[in-house]
Amino acid sequence: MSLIAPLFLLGLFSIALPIWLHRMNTLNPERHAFPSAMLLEHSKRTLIQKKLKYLLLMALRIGFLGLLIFAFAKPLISRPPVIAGGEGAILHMIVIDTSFSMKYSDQFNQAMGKVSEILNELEADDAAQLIAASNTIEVLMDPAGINFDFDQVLGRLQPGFGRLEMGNVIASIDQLVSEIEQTVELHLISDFQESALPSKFSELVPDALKTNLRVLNLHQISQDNAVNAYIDTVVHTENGIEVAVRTYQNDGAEGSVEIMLNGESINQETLALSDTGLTIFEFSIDEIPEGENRLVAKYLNDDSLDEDNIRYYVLDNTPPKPVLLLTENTDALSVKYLTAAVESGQQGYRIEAVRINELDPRIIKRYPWILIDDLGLVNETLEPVITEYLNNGGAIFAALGTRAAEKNTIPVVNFDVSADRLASDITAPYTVSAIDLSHPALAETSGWRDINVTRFLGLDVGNNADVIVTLEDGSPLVIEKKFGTGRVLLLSTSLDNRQNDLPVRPVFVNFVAEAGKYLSGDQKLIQNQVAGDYLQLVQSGSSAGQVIDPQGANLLSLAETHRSQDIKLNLTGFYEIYTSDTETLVAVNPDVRESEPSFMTIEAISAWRDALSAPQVSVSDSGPINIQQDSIELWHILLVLMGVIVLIESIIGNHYLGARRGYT
Amino acid sequence: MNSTLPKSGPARLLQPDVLAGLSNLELVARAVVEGFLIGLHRSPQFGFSQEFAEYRPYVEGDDLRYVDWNVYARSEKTYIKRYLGETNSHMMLLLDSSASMSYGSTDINKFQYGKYLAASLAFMASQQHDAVGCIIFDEGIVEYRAPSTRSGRLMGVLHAIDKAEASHGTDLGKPFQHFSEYSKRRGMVVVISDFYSNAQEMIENVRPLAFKGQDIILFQLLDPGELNPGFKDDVLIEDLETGETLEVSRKFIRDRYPEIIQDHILSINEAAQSVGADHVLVNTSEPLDQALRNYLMFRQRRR
Repeated sequence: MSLIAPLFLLGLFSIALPIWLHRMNTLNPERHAFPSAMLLEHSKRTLIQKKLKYLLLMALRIGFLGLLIFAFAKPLISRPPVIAGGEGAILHMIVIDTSFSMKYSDQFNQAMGKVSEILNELEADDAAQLIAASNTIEVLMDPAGINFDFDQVLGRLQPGFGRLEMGNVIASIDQLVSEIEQTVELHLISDFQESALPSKFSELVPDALKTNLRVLNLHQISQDNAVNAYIDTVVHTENGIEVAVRTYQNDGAEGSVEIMLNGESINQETLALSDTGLTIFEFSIDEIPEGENRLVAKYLNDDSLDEDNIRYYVLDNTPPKPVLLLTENTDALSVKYLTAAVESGQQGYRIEAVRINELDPRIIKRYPWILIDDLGLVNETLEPVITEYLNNGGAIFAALGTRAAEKNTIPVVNFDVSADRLASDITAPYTVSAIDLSHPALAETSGWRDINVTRFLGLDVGNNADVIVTLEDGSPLVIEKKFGTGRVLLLSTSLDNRQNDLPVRPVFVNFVAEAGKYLSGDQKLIQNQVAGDYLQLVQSGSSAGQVIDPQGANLLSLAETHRSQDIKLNLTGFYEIYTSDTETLVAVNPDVRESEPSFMTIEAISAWRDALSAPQVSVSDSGPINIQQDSIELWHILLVLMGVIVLIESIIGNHYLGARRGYT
Repeated sequence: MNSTLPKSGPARLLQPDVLAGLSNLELVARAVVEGFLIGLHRSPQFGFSQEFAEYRPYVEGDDLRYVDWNVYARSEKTYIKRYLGETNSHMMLLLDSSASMSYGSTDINKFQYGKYLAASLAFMASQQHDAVGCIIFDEGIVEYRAPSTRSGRLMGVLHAIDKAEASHGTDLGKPFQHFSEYSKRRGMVVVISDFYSNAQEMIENVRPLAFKGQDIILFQLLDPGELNPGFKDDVLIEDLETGETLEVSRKFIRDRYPEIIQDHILSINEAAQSVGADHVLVNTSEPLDQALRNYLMFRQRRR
């Protein structure tokens, strides 16, 4: 129970009881009738003493109730997780692999057995600490002596769906060990999958071995037979759905795969599986409902790891969103380049090219963002419409073509054209000299320095705009100007490849896609992810959104739905993400590498052990370890305090009651 | 409870707690007086009823019924035989019905006790053929019954006493002034009160009556809880008459109050003596006979 738990807060209300009683007593003190006060004298001191006595009684009662409620909240005094032992004291850090592969057969039970063995062999003065390792390492408890109830911690431990990278684990443990002054003996219990190993063997040797890490013991869980079959991939093709089943040491048996769309079985196929390798199951789907669909592929044959025989996939059949492209000529090269770049992006846009002189201005506000291949085309009639659109939160991606070159001031953005930097003055292509990669439109782009610009408009952008890409002569190439919540992303050159080679460079597609994502505000989530990844929920306006996990639980409290969140995807299945303007499905599956039943050989393990033993430092004999209690429970202190309060309250209360009785 | 009489036989009828069980005030008065008289027969000190007082020569205008014809037969002289009852032929009862009289720490409060005492005295006087009247007072005159020997007068007085309720404050001046205005004859005035007032002011009101030759007896009724309050700790006291509250310390109650109450009783006593009145302190936990004895002793002295 915490200090904001509803029961604790409710309990706090009981403190109102003595306050109320005190208030009642103060308002209605017991009066003793007497024939006449003529012969009596008022005693002011008595009144003050009585008030103090009442207040003391009330304080004692409130104190008692407060302590009682506090005791139910199980308060602890936490101490830093440091063993305050003398030099040379040994701490056994036991790292247990809880990645998805540990679900294979009874590997995890074996791992638990190994933990028990290690704990049973601890010396009386030793301490131990349990750590779970998967995508990240999780310290399960602070260091404790042999009398600690380790089963209580181990009982809660289960393998998850995460991916273990041995290099990351060693680096994390290295960091953890370096923060501890005492000598550490590390035990790593894992199946040691080959796929978990880093590219460099040196990453498996902790630096702490040179300081306080005495030894790293590798405990490999024994493997019976490296046999497994699992669904490797699910792909949506033009012809339908392709499900790839990967098998290891298959003995020629057939395998069956069933696919289900939105909860309904739509097809099943049985094929002879390859011995070791991929078998592709192809399914045709007649009609895919519009929007995001839940596709589940199941490998129907039993094996030692059932949970990788099912794969979740979001089959996205959402129609692309229209984007308005204003141009002078819909057959122009710039239109072709922009259309290709926009429609090939992940966001799913469809270009609607319209001649600017045929434009009905009323339609502009239907689009979250628009493109203009030459901002110089905007005439005096259209300019206020576009400015209003921007001021209302709209966004424009624009370039400057031949029409803009005819003007002294660029419409809408009101940038002055510097006459001495007109494109005709350039004799050799300019390259990019500065890029603001922190800008969202450029964050995922690369290759800007490869482009050549032969013609552009020199612009005086003033202080109200940001230059995010600059040419070598200092002229702005990409500029952003904000209009309230609206914005314009402007290229100071044209979008046909006669003035620059940007449209034919790979960076262009990424740039347009990211610019479109940035300008439209669409932060589309990756629909198919692996377990252990983080889902980034970005705040938009006053809300970020809510996430419902595959078990139907809301992952965020009401307060959390208003803030940006990184949500770890711990379960496999479909997560539903609700943001202020979208509903998105995210399919989460275990990393397929966790399903590979290929493990480090004994020789490789031996080589690792050798690498570990080589730089081992001499460690002095360990003295008894002095384990400071990591946390002190306060309930017994509270109990004593309550006892004292009850005693004092009884004495004062009895005295007070005697006074209230008056006569005896 | 201190009691001078055993709680058996007729005398038990004088115990206040026994009287409290009798609902009819006339019955109470009869029980008290008869119980008291039974006790008196054992005593040689007191006489009662139509007691012979003196002979005096017959003068014109005297009622021939009172001529002692036996004396005339022996001496041929006409003498009128006078009885005691003819010396004090009026008795006026002044009963305080202020709120302070409603206080009682025992089964019977001061006002009930005062009612019993007043009724008993009225009954006793009626037996003696005295004219009995009463004034019930608090801040003003609540009830007034002029003294009379007419038959039924006693019942009227008892009824007035019976229906009285204790409330309001006390003003001792009012009943005395009222009595002075309406009573021209010499007689006995019995004041039953707790006398929570300034002794000198009170006696200034009594003095005119004393000058007119009225025989005055003051019964000061006090509850044992007033004489010795049993508070064990500091208390909040509420004045029954004014409703005011007062924080009083246990130390004051224990050390100073007994002295103050005794001084107050003494001051009332001295003030009474200064005008020739009798002052009788009555503890309401004690039987009524003590008060009746005082009354008779007072009559005897004034005879």
